[in-house]
Amino acid sequence: MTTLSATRRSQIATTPPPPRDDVSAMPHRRHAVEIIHVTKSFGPTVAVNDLSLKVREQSICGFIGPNGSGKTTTLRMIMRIYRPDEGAGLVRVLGQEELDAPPKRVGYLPEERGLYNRMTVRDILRFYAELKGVANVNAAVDAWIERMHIADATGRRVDSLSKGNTQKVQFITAVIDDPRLLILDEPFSGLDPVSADLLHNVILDLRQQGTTIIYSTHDMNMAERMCDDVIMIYRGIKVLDGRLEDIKREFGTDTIRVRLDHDHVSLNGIEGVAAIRDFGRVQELRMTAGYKSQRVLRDVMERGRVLQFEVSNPSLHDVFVRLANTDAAEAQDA
Amino acid sequence: MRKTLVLAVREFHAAVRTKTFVISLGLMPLMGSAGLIVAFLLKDEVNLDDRRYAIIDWTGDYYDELADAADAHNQRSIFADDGIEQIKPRVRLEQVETDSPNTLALQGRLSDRVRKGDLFGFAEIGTGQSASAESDELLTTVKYHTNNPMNRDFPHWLGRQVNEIAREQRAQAEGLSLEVAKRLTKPVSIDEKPLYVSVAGGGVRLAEETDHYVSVLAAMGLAVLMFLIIFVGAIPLTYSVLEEKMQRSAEVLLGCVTPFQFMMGKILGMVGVSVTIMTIYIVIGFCVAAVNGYAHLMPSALINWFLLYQAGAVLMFGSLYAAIGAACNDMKDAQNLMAPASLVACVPLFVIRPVILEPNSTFSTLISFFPPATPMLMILRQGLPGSIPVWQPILGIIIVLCTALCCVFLASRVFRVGILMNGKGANVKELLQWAFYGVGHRPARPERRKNAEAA
Repeated sequence: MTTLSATRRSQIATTPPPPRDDVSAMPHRRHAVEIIHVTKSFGPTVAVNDLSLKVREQSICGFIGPNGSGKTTTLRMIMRIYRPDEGAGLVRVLGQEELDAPPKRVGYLPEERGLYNRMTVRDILRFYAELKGVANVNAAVDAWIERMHIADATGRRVDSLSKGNTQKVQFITAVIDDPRLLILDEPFSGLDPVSADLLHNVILDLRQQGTTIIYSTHDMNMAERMCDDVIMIYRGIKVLDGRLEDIKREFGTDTIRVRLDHDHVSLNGIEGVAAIRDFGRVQELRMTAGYKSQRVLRDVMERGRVLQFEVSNPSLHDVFVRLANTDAAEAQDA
Repeated sequence: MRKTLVLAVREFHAAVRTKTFVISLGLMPLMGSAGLIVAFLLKDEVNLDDRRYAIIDWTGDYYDELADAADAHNQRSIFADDGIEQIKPRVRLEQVETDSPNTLALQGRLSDRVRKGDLFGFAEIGTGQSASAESDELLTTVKYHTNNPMNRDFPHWLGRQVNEIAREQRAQAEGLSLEVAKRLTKPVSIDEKPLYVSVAGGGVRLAEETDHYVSVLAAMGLAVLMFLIIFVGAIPLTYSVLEEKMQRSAEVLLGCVTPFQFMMGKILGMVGVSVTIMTIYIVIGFCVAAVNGYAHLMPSALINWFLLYQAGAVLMFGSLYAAIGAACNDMKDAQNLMAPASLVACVPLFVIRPVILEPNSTFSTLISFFPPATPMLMILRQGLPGSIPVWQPILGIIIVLCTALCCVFLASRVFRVGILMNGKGANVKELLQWAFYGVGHRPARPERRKNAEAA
């Protein structure tokens, strides 16, 4: 398995800061999840290699990485669906180290999810509530049905629901017992904007109530909007770990977003520009070290009328791409 | 245990609240008794075309009387009780000239006629040797040639007639009257009876013959029912698990239950379904028996054992079939792996005859402790007259339950690996590897754990 150089990793990995002020008043253990030197192999393939990470309690932790990077394997190890290789490290979830049973008070919404199609919505929610040992099943089911706006679908079979409603039902099955840790793998896929907003708000509410949330996604924009911390895994190795603002600060203000009144003006050839990403109406310039923003502005103004000129941190998407490209380049060199 | 029971209850409800369950409830007894029903329905479906037989009477002493007997048969024995409706074919005999110099050629020609359908068969009375050589010999064998060996009507009829004629001829040759000859050769029959049983007050009485036959039939019926229950209760688990795997609902559940609980819940649900089916049948059986005055003949103790063995059998085979479902990715894969598993379930059928003939032999005893065969054979042996020692069914159920637990444990290891695995289905070798060694087992350096703790 190809890895980033140790130097590179040490540059970008940061130690998680202490809990923020808005949640620090709540009683808490410092970390909801601790993974220490964990390796998981499938035959000759090493899916997760000597991974260590910590997830702060009562935070939303973005778990990002390309397909096949080991995210799902890591989540499954947290859920005890997979065991780490024998003797390889430690996975502690809400203080629980028992490897043979799913950790208690943890909700899990996997990427590959499905429901019993022939059951009605109410029956399936009751089933999961009973399975998770909810004390007052009917009250919990009714509350979540109302909260997720699916009251008109409770008597319908799952296979007759729209994709959005199915997604909502699946989400409720993960949170029906008010978990202290909620693991969501691509929770917004297939949702329309209204449903996505609803789910987004519910997730933020849960965090506000003290639930720690691990949010695994490819959607960098959503991760950037929601997450307090970000962990990136690439080819089984952690390449990024820290608070989102710290990460972006670490990568510096080397990004300039420019919008001109004509969409197709080329900004190639401007001094100090290392790379350009064209989003159509906005172009994002990645600058070399020591660039002069005033000079760049002057050069841009020569190309057209400037509507927007913003010196900023790189987006999470950009960070992601840079790390992935760095790794690919190192792999090619090796 | 609570989670397992919640899963089991869901599986149970999912299975019994379907039209399929109601239909299979009615179909299973039909399937079990299909042979009897078909035989009953087809009992009058007989080909009534005349059947022509050639008789080579090398002795010259039998044909004429046989022809007379055939005429009498055609006039009296081929009609129903009303004397009008013909229910059996006529027997037409044809005498073959015995002056042919080439016996083999004659036999060949007759065989050809049988093959063409001109004859149903032909019989040779005597050996075809010279009359002088044969005159001193008693007729001992009649050869019957046919290409319909399963039709036994004519050989039985011919045997009866030839013996009757031979008896008369021999009596006459010895100077005995026909009456004396009949008295001398009157056969002695064996009248089979059950054993004597103790009665209240200290005496004994001969058990009722119906007890005797009911117990034999009940034992065989329960053994066949056990076989059906294993298939009806266990095989659907393959499809149930496979369906869950294909619908991707397994991982959601594995977020709150262990693979063992998941699989055990499904299996216990199916045990519940099979016990429900049996309870319904038993209640119906008792009602029918009570209405007809036979309630006292229902083998209550045997039925209790049956329910116990049935639960063990569904656990044992259910875990096997659930593991197969977890290891496969489509129906075709599953069917390939189910074939050998089903073969194991069929083992009792291969040995059922010697066990029925001698339920207490060493072979029967040993084979009934072979776990896959134990539920069916032990019930069969317990039900047959001539009870087996009480320790045997107790040991049998212990063996079945222990084996079932081992199967569930090993199957859950297969289940843990297979349920989330997509792509290529597993083969038998991989299944065994998953069951005994797990997957992805790659021991790390022993010091790593210590380092992790220290860190």
